[in-house]
Amino acid sequence: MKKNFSSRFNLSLGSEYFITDYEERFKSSDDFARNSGYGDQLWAGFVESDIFFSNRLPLKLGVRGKFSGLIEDFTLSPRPSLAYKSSEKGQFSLAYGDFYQTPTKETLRYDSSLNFEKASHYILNYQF
Amino acid sequence: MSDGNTFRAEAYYKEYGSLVKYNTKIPRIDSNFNNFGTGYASGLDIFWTDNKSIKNLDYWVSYGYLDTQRTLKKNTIIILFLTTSLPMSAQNKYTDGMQRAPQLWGEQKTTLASNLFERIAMAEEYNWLPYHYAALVNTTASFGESDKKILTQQLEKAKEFNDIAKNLSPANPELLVMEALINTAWIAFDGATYGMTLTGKNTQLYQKALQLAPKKPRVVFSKAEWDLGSARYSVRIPPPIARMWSELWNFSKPLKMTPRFTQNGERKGRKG
Repeated sequence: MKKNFSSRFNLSLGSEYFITDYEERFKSSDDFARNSGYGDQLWAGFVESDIFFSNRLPLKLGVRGKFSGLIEDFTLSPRPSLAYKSSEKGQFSLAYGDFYQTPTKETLRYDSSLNFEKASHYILNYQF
Repeated sequence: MSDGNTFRAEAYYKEYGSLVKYNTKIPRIDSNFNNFGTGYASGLDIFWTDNKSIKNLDYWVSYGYLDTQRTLKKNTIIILFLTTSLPMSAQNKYTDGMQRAPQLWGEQKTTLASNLFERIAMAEEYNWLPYHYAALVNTTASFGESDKKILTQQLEKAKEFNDIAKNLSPANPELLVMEALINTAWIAFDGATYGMTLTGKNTQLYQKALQLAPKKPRVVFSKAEWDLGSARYSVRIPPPIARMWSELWNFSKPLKMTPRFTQNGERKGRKG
């Protein structure tokens, strides 16, 4: 969903929902059997806005919320980024973002008590 | 791009936390998992394209530099290009603690020593050795103890620590001997009650330990002592034997051990 409030401000938002049901049944030729797996329901939503302080200085503000039924944790990740147009073709941008990731199924299938893994990004970019 | 060339440079720093760690090569059903991993990645990417300077030529040049590290199982660290002093200080803390705890033990401050080993064990999540020592401190403390309540507390604690150690390092002869020693303490305390069930168990434990480490002095000595004494373990372990046990682990010299050990405990034993 997207809405333009003015030429200087707009807002977009969205949401997603994933259902995971992972199951592995192992049975060897000598009848040794072992099962492993997990189930998860993951909901995520975001709000994002472009704010133009001027034509040369836009700010993108985003927030992403995430809830996992398996991990039983709600996380909120701020993701701002600021750009500055330094010349006709050149621009700088500075961005920060938190990211939460569900552990891989290789580990989660044996231990479903694990928590999200977290990454924080700091990025400086220049191009012309 | 439209008028011929593009230059892009990006510098980044990414910090990772709550990474999943496990104590085996690949994740397995019996692995210990936790979320204590950390890491970072920092780098610089440079990108250049040009299709106007030379006629009929479109070329791209890019360069990437990345410096990254993360903690894996047992605090091993992958390092590219750069080292850090952080893991060193963690190691020193361990070494300090591993010297302080036996010192406390030598001063008969068994509870303090046990608590310190326990704390080291918590910090060294995948290292079986501190748990093993915590079990040993509690077991030897029970030798000669006549109050059943205190003795039960000590031996149950010892068993609990030893079980955690066994979980971290299966098929470790040191831990089998330790388990047998805990059983011996029970038999010594009350042979009539515990002798029947635990004597057979100990014989099995020593046999298994000897199979795993036929030349390890502590295993050989413990088994010999058990074979000699199992018939007469209806009496208390006399203090000289209790002392001999402590001396066998000989803590008079500071421990020179690094936090990394082989899983089966084979190479860590001190000579003599």
